Amino acid sequence: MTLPLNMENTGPWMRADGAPDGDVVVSSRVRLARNLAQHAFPHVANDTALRAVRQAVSDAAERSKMLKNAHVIQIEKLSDIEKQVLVERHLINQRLIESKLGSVIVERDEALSVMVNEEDHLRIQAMEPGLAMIDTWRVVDSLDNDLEATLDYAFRPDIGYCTACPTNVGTGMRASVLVHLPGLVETKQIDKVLKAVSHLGLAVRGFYGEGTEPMSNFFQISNQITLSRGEEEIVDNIEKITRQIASKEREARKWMYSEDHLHVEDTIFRAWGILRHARLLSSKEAMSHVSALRLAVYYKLIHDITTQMLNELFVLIQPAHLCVSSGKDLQAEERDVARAELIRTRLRMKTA
Amino acid sequence: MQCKRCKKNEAKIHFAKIINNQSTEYHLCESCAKEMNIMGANHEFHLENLIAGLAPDAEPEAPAAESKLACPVCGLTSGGFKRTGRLGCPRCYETFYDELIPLLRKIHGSSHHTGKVPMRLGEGGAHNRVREIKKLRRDLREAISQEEYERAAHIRDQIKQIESELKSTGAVNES
Repeated sequence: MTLPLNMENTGPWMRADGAPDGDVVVSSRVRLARNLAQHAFPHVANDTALRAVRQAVSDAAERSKMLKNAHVIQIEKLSDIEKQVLVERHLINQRLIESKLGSVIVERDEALSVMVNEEDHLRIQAMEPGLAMIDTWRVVDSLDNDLEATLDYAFRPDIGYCTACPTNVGTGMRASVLVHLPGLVETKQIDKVLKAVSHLGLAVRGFYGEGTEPMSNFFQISNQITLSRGEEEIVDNIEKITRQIASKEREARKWMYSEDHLHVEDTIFRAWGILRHARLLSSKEAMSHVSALRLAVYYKLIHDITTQMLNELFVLIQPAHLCVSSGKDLQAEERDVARAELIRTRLRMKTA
Repeated sequence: MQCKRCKKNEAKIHFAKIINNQSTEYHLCESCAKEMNIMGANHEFHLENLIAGLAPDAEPEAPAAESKLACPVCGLTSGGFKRTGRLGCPRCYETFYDELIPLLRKIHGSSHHTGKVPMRLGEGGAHNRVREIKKLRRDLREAISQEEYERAAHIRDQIKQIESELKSTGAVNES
């Protein structure tokens, strides 16, 4: 099966101009866990039940206006690389790959998607560029209403939406932002900030590229508690805290530049040089230089690049994307060649 | 920051467990987090593994008593739930209700849902309206404290309108 996605680019949602707080916040995401009342949860359900769930959700999606251009992708029909492509695009996760009869319903712009038969029957997801928690919640809320018109959700008035794991019960909502914090990392304030955030009931984790090495400047912040608070309150809380972190990050960036602009510029222009000329680029090296270029955009040092372009590069230089665009299964070094080539080409393209 | 468990590597995973305003912090490196089994293959937090630690200990002296409770729909036993930290089906929430409530309080600090309600549950619409009113009242307080009286008046009108709609549909106003 060929994926019904455009492999030259990432999902169109990522390429929108003018992402709010886009200098610090890469993206906002809200995911809702839902289950059908009449079936056991996926880890217990038999094949007949899993198929019935999959069919019911596909039917409901077909009736939803918000998913009118959506594709239904059955996971077991994909090659391993195609599955990884969906992971790299944040449309599915490892757990869905491991599930027996999973599928993902992806709206054309990839901002909206529904994982079926992951840990819960449905995981409804919306993504937006930049800091847009409240809008993202509104979108996923409407899609949830659409699907609910056809599906009978498992819900109890006292404890809310029933989920396979009690950590998701209640709203079933996990809201998160992906943030880029090189200033706070460089000025060694990051631990303090992350500690403060974890005190506020939010979870923070490093964001992972290829392998297990966390990419030190990217962090994901999400709500830990799903019960006893309303959805608006949860997303509003994350948005406010993230806005504060963003302003701290900007202060750190300004301080770094005023303190030692030569060092800052040197790091950035070295990254620019390497990315435009290197012949072999490991994922880790490429990511750290692309991270430096995000700062170049912030300091207005290089005018040919935009934050959207760099956000997109992060996705396109991941292993499965490189394999699919070159049309074959690449070995590690071949990937480094392909990655360097892709980055050289992209960075020579002037923005329109 | 150093990992608080092995005190060698840099801590990469930070979280705080807050139970009734008492918070316990965790700062772990990846390998310790892996050993404690809270990270999955995809580096996602596997909270259920943490929960297994939070759930009341299965009492080894009385295995017979424990196995009596089983879900009539999916067959999950109380022991099975404690082992995996996951429920088998929506009905399990009723079967294991007495065990779940204290667990939910530990995880979420409360066991009462205050969020969205499906529209299809007859009263769902009214529930959501009541929730809207609560939110508007919060906004109203905020507007007043910031001396934005015009906005406050607008919010007050919105509240009045929703309240009169609720009254006309005969829904109970649970304020």
